[in-house]
Amino acid sequence: MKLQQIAIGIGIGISALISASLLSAPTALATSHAHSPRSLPAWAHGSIKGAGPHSGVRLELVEWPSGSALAKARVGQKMRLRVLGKTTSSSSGSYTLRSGVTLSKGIHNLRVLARSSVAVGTFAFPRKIVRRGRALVAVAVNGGASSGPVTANIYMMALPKAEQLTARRHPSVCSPSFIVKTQDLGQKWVDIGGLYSIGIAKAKAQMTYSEGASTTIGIGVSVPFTNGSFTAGGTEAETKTGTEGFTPQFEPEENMQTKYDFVKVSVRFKGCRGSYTDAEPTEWATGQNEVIVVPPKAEHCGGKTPKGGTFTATDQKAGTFSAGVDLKKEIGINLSVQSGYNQNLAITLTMGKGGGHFCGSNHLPPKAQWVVMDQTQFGNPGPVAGRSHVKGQRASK
Amino acid sequence: MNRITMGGLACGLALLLTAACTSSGPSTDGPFGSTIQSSGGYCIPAARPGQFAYSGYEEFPNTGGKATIDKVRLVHPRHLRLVTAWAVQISSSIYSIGAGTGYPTMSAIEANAPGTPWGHRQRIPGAVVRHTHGQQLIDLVILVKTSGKFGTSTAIDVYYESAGTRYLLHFPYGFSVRVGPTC
Repeated sequence: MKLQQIAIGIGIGISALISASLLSAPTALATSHAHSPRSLPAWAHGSIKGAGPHSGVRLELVEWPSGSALAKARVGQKMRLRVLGKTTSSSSGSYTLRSGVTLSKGIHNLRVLARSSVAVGTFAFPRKIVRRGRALVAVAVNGGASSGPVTANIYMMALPKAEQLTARRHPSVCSPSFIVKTQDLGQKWVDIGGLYSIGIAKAKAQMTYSEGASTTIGIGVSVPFTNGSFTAGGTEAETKTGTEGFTPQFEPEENMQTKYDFVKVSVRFKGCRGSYTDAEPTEWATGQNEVIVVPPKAEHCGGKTPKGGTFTATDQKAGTFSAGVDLKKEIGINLSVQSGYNQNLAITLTMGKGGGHFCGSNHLPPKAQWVVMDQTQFGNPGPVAGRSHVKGQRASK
Repeated sequence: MNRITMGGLACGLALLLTAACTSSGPSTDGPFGSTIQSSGGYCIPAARPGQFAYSGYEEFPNTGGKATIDKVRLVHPRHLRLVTAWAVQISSSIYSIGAGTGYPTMSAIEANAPGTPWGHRQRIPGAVVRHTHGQQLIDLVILVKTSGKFGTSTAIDVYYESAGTRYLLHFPYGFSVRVGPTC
């Protein structure tokens, strides 16, 4: 069966919800925090931002459970996290997380979990493990095969006083971490691609999206009891498991959507008070939907292509849907989604009657993040300056 | 075959393998940039087999000094022959020559990509291009001819020399021409 892959970045909301029923502190755990040797490969590095202090923050790199495992888990079920590396931020607030752990081939969702005595933070990112020669190396899921550490700046959220550690208890006691599935949020539409033509009769667009497509999903973080506000904080990847495809679209000005299941999980630090909850996608849930939008601005245009001419993208980075998932009701924010085309997610645009121009948002296609079939070589100005996607009326009607 | 002959053959083979392993092609990260992550490409319909078609979607800067473009080739061409190629310096990528059938005439270029100094195009091989400033780019325009109903290629390679070093710029998307009303 042909494998297909898509990468989408979705902001996941994480609300730091303080749990009153946390475990007591086994101080013996403090001795288990050996730092990873500098000779090991760096997986993530960055700076500590937000609520201080920024130095002395304990950081763990953990492997997150798969989306299907989270989907299958019962509400209330505890799941262990595999710790890959640990470190403490420097006096300047910077850190590098190293690990000698070898992950299996395929896509893995990783997270940096950070904790000081008064604040918590997290950053999620997916890595694809591929074989290069004899070695297995970690590369980005989307857009480029270069290996190397991910830049993961951690935004720390201040914990309410009742949940802060006492001065005598160093954050290093708060480990290892685990998660508890707390809620099923149900299925949500997720923007996975955009097919756009403006004013070209019989223009046709086809998106291929089938089994094996992976979806990269970001996360957001917020402290508990502060209006439940969520902010973006990284990405995750899920994989499409079914064969359902998308039908061809004619004269489209549409964002293409499919459904993913979403859950809330509570991230807990064993031995410490306090936890936070994130909302995240788990697995593909079938479905096809088209949302009419004003196409993105695209003013880098090629010469006139005759009727029947095509542009195909099968492996390139695409733009970001800033509001690719609507979780406003559940967590207060919409989440972003980032797509990339590859052999698993492809688009083919076929020029319609009278011909037209293939135009790109930031470059000419195929370098462009978004491609629009336009009537003129001047392209289109987009919906509103600075906003690439606004749900609304068709631009050409 | 005696042992000495066998040994000699083995040594020869080893030397060949060593040479093959240590020889390297032109650098793919030069002043024209490196390969972008992309695949797919453009296809245009043609009225009949043997018709000319052109594509000018390939653009690149020159961050180095004077460079000479030695060669352009279609990768994995099938029923498609590269007739010639040109380089022309353009002020930005806002308007591109794009792709079309027939020979790229001055009037067609002016209509599609106003301001393109088509009169200053240089034929490849031998096109000498200067350093590009700001939004300036070099537009590569290829002219191809089909020999069947569907002429295809999977990528385009540009070989050039700059400051005594040879480089390869690889465009990982193809240009195809299909005889008929649509691709």
